[in-house]
Amino acid sequence: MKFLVVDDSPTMRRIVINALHSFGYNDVVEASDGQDALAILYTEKIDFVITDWNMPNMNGLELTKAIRGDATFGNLPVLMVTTRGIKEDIVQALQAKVNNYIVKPFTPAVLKEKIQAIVPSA
Amino acid sequence: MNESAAFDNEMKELLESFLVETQEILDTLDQDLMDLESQPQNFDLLNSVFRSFHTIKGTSSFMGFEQITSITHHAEDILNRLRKAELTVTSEIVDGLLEVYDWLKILLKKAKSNDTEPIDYTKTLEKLTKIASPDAAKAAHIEGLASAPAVEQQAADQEPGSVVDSLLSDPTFGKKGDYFTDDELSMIAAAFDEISRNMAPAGVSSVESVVQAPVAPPQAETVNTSTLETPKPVVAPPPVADTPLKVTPPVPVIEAKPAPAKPAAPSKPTGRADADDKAITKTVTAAAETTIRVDVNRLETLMDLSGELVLGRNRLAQVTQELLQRYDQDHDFLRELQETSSSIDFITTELQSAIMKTRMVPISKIFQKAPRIVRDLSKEFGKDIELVLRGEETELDRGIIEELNDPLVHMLRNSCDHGIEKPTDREKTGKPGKGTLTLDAEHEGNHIVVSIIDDGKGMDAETIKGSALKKGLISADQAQTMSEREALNLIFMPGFSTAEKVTSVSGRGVGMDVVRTNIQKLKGIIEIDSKPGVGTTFTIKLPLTLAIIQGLLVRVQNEIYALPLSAVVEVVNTDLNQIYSVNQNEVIRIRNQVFPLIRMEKVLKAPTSSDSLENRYVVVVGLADRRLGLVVDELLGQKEIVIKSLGEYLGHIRGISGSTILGDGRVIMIIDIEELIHSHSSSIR
Repeated sequence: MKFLVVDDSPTMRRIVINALHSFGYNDVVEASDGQDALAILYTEKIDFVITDWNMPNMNGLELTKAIRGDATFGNLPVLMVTTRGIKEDIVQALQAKVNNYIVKPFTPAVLKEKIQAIVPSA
Repeated sequence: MNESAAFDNEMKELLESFLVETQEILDTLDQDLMDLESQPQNFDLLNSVFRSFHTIKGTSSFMGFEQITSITHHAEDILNRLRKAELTVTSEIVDGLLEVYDWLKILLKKAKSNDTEPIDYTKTLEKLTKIASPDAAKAAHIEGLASAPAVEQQAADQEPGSVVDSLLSDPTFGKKGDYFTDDELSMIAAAFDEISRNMAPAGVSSVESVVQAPVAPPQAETVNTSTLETPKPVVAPPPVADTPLKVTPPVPVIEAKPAPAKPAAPSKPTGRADADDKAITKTVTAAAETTIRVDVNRLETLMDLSGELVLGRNRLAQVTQELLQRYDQDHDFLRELQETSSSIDFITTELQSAIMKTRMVPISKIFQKAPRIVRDLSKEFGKDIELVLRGEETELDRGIIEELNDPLVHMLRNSCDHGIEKPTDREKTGKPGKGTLTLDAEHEGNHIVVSIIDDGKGMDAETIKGSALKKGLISADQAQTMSEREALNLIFMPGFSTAEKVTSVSGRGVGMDVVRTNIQKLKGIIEIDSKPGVGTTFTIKLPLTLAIIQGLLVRVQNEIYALPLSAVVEVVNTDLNQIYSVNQNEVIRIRNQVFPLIRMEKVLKAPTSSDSLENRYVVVVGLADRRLGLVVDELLGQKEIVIKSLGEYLGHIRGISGSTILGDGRVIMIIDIEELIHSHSSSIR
C-alpha cells in the first residue's frame, strides 16, 4: 500500500508518517497542499490518501472533490484529518465523498482503525 | 531497548520539527496580524492567519503542549467567526490576537528549553472570550447551521437512496443541539462505511479497482457514446447485503455512485490539458523544495575547514612565489605550478564566500519585529509614527544577527519613546504631526551598516552633560573640556538616562549601556549624529562575519601584527605638531577631534630602538563609541586572515585576541582592540 500524506504542516506530516511506519507502511509520499497532491497523483500510483482539511492553495475538501472527479483515481480512499468535529464539516465531508474523517489529536491506534475501516485488507 | 531508542529519536525529531515550524509561523504571524488590522477585508490574509493558529493548535495537541493548544484554540475560534463574518476585524481583536502571539512566543521558548512550568494567561483568555462573546456566537452558530439544509437538499436530490443521501436529506439531521446525537453518529459512521464500500467492493481492494479501469476499453467507449451512462464496471460493487440500518433502502448503488463524478467530468483535464496542469503543479512542487534545513554545526565545520583551506592557499601562493624568484621563470613546471596556484587561489576565495553565504541571514529577521514594536509604542505614548524599512534583504552572519537583535530593538524603543515627539509638540515646531522612523541596512565593503534614523527632537549635548553631571557620572572639569561627540556618547554610560520618568519601555538607564556592550562584542562601531530639533541618527557598523576577517598588517619594531580592519577608522602620519600631552597622556588631534594615543611597543613590551614619533603612523581604531590612536612603525597592507585562538597552552595574553598564519608560515598575533580600549579607559579614570 502506498500512502499519500497531504498536510501543509511538516510536523503533522511527520506525525502521520511516523504512525504509518509503526504499522509497517513504509511506502509513503508527502505533499504540502492539494495542488501538490494532485501533481503526485498524476504521476504516481497511490493507494490511499490521508489529507488535512485546512491548507493553502487547495484544501482537503477541494482535493477530495478533484480526486472524485478523476477517471483514473476517482475511487481512491480518502481519509480526512480535521481538528473539529463540527457538524457542517462532517456534512461537507460526506458530500465530498470523503471515506472517513479523523479528529486531531488522534492516537496511532485510531488512525489504524480508520484506515482498516476503509480498506479492510490493509 | 533498540525500539525505545528509535522511538525517543523519533520524538526528538518530531519535537525539533514542531519547534522549527512553529517558530517559522510566528516569524510572520505578527506582521500578518497587523496587516489584517489595516486590511480587514482581505479574506486570503484572514485565512492565512487562521491557518497559522490552526496549524499550531493541531501540531501542539500531538506534542502534548496543552497550554499552546488551549490558547490557539481560543484564537482560532475568533478567527473562525471572522471568517464566517460573525465578527469583524477591530483593533481590539487584533490586540487580543497579538497577545496570543506574545504568549505563544513565550510558550515556545519554554518548550525549547524543556521548561514545563505552566504560565498564567487567564487574563488573555478572558479577553478573548469576551471578544468572541459566546452567547452571540452560539446563536450565530445555530443560525449558520440552519442555512445548511438547502445545500444538503440539493445534494440529496442528485442521488437518492443511499445512507449518505437519506442522512443528508433528513431535515432533522444535525439540528439537535451543538453535538451530534449517538444515533446521528452511528448513521454518519454507516454513511462513511457506505462510501468506502462503494469505492472498494468486497474482495477487491480499491487499488485493484483503480488498476482495472484502463483494462476495460469497451465500457469506456459506451460511456462516451451514451453520455448519461456511467462507467459501471469500474465501481460496480456486488449488490451485497447492506448493513442492516433502517434508513437504508436497498438501492442499486451502481447508479448512485458515479453520479458525483459526472458534473466534474467535462472540466476534468484530459490529454494535453492534463499535461499542462501537471506542468503547473510540478512547478509548485519544485518551488517548495528549493530549500533544505541544515544543522548549524555542519555549517560551522565547513566554515572551519574553509578557514584552514585559506591558510593552505596562502602558504601555497607564498611558496610558489619564492620558487619563481629562486629559479628560472620560464621553466614549464614553474609556470604550471603558478597557474595551478592562482586557480586554487581563485577557487578558494569563491568557496569561502559561498560557505559564508550559507550562514548569511537577511536582516529582515530583525527588521520584521519593528512594525509591531512601533505600533504598540505609538499607541502607548499617543504618538503617530511612520516606520520606513530599507535594505531588509541585506544579509549578515547569523551569529551576528542574533547578537544584534537586542540592541536594535532597544534603540528602536528609545527612538519611539525619547526621540519622536507627540503630534501636538511636533506641530508646534512646524513639523508634520506624523514622525518618521527609518531602519536602514546596507553593505559597505566587508561591513554592514545599520542606521536608525528619527526626525524627532534630537539630543542636546549640554542637556546630556548636565544630566551626567547631576548623576555624578562626570566631573565639572570633564564637562567643560568635553567635545560634542563625547557628550553624546555619555548616553552609553551605565546609569545614564535622560528620561524624565521611568517608563515600562525605556528609561531604566540600563539600555544604551547594554547596546554598547553588545556592539563591542560584535567588534562593531556605533556613531551618534544628532541635531536638536531635527532628529537623531545612530549608525552601527559591523563586520560581516567574525571567523575570517580582513586584517591590516602593521609592524611594531621587529614584529608584525594584524589589526582587524573592521575596527580601523583611519590611518594618518604622525604629525608632531598635532600631538599633545594631556595629564601625561599623549593625544593626537585629527581635524577637530582628539584621540588618545597608545604606543603599541609599550603595550606589547617590544624592545624599542627610539622613542621618537617621527616617521611613524597612527592607526585610529574604534569599538562601539570609543576611539583610540595606535602608534605603529609601518603599514604592510591588507590580508584576509583566519582567526585562531591561542589555545590553552598560551592562555590569555594582554592585548592579543588570537593568532593567524601568514603565507610564509609565520605566525602573527592579532591585536585585541576591545581590550586596548578597555584598559585605556580604566587607566585614565
